[in-house]
Amino acid sequence: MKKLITFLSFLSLNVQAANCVPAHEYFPFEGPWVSKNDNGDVVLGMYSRVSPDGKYVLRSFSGKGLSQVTLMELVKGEKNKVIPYQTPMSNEAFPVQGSWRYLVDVGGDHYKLSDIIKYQKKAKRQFKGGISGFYTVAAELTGGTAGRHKIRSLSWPSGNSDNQGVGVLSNRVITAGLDNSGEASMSDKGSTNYMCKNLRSTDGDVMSLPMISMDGSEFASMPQNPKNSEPSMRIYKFGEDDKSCLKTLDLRVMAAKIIFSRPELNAVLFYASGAMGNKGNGVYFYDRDVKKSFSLDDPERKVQADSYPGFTSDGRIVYGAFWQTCTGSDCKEQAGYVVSDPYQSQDIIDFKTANVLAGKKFKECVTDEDVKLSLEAQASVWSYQK
Amino acid sequence: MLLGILFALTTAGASEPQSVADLSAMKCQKEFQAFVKSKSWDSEKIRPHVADSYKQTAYRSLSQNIGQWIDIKLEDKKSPDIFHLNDSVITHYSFNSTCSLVTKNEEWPWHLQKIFTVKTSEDWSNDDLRKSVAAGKKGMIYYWSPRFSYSVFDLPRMARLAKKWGYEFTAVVDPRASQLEVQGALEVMLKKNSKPDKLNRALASKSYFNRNVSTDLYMRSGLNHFPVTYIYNKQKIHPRWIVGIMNDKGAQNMADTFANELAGK
Repeated sequence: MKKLITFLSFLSLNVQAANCVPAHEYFPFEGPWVSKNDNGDVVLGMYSRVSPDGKYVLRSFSGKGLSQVTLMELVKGEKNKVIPYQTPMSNEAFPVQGSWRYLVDVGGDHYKLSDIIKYQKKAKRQFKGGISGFYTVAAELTGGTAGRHKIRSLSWPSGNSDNQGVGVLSNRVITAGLDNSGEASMSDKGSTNYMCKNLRSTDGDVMSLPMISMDGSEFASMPQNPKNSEPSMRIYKFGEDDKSCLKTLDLRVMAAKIIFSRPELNAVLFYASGAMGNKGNGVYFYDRDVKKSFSLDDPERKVQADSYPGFTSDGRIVYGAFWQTCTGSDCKEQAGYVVSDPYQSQDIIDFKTANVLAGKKFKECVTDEDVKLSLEAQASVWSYQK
Repeated sequence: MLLGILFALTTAGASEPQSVADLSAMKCQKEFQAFVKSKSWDSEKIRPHVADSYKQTAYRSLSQNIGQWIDIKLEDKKSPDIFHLNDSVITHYSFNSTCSLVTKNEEWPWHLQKIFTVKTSEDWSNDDLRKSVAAGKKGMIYYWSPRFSYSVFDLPRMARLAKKWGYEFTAVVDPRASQLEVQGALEVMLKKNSKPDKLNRALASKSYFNRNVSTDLYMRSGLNHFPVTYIYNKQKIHPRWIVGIMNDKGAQNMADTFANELAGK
């Protein structure tokens, strides 16, 4: 009987293990398209955004390619590879988060991802809309369909309203939809809402590094000169009037832009240069339920993040990075994208062991089935069918 | 000074998310306190910092002595780890099972070794930062990267505005970028200006690179995002910094606020 239980446990573990995605997957930049610097380093593009299925990364380029934006496809195979696509967009172009129904140029031109893949630089603009300003981000609000969806964009508009102070954020909600032929248009251009006047006495009126949540209900930003507190990355909820801001979380650390998970996962990611003697790789995973920050690492590869990370809807984390592949003492440096499953990180495993009840929040791993569902859901959005 | 600030912070009862360290649950507390006291390290302020693990609470101490930094990592039921940075040398202090002090030099992570342990005489370092600040004048250091387009395109505007507002202006660049990458980005910046003037051309010239290998600016969250602007005045650097770009009025308000605070106004 004991032998049977042992065998069944062994079988169960192996079935589970077989179903889990790898803890870390590597997609190296290889091929004639790869740009290398005169110091030998591969140029990754630090400003990056990740599609909900983890299949694409929108990246802003560097050096002589500055202001160019490329879409990078992560192709899984016997040997993982990356395929670049050129785009007509520039600078810090951004996706409409949540759905990734559109990719948006800094001036507000909306493009369909399928057009970018097919026509690259010659992709046709669908419509122009939303906030136009520095560091714009956008997300599709919950409940949208192909035929009708609302998109909230957040930025510092180029022209500030005099009575709203300087450096204040603003947002605008537009309504758009696709017709039967798959053409998109904007039916309501919305109006600019100057925000967070209610926070002036505490958080000041100069915000930086704005980022919107996947469902457009929250945003993260770092007040630059708050009153009676240290500058730190904070999360706020958009008020019902689209103007007031409700602080929901203070991460109490200075970090680069925050990346939100799918709302149900209730987590955020951020990039930060670490502390001395730090073991992490530059990407930090903060779970808002257990209120703890976890580091990701693959000690065998000595991974070091070199781009802002992104969440897939199934919970994986994708980021540009450098890593080492060693054979004995002979180490080769590589660069590309890393896809990590945070639930398989040692830090989260340790947390679950020490905190059984709270640890139930975290599943064993992201499974192949989870990834398949993400890919199918995203393919449905990108079919642009009603 | 460091100890006083650390205790004030840890007993302040700040709320989520980083649980504030409970020093009573820490091993070797007496030895830790005696050690910190013996060092008389200067500390302008201590801020929570990113940690290695969910188990850990980390703090970073900002000092008014350029190039001198302290990171402290605390963990329940363990003795503390203290990392002291002196320009580019990191010394790690810890306590063994009998709470005796253990001292060893710590290496920079491999990706930072390329920056902070291999520098040329042309690089811009802590010495340059000290020199700028020591003169006692009002100035700004604009830290940019060829990997962040706004930081490149805003470089000439900020150089011009700094002069107009009476600030010394020093542009320093992301040390991870190669010379080719920096030059390429500056050429794009030059082309973007339909009528590049003398300033634009000067900025795009080779002599203006100032590859920033200052460990002091690295410790001021220097690689998180570009541009970031540091303000100095009266021989001190402001403990806050300006992140990202903003319009003329906003940038001037922030810079003047910080410069005036440094002047005690």
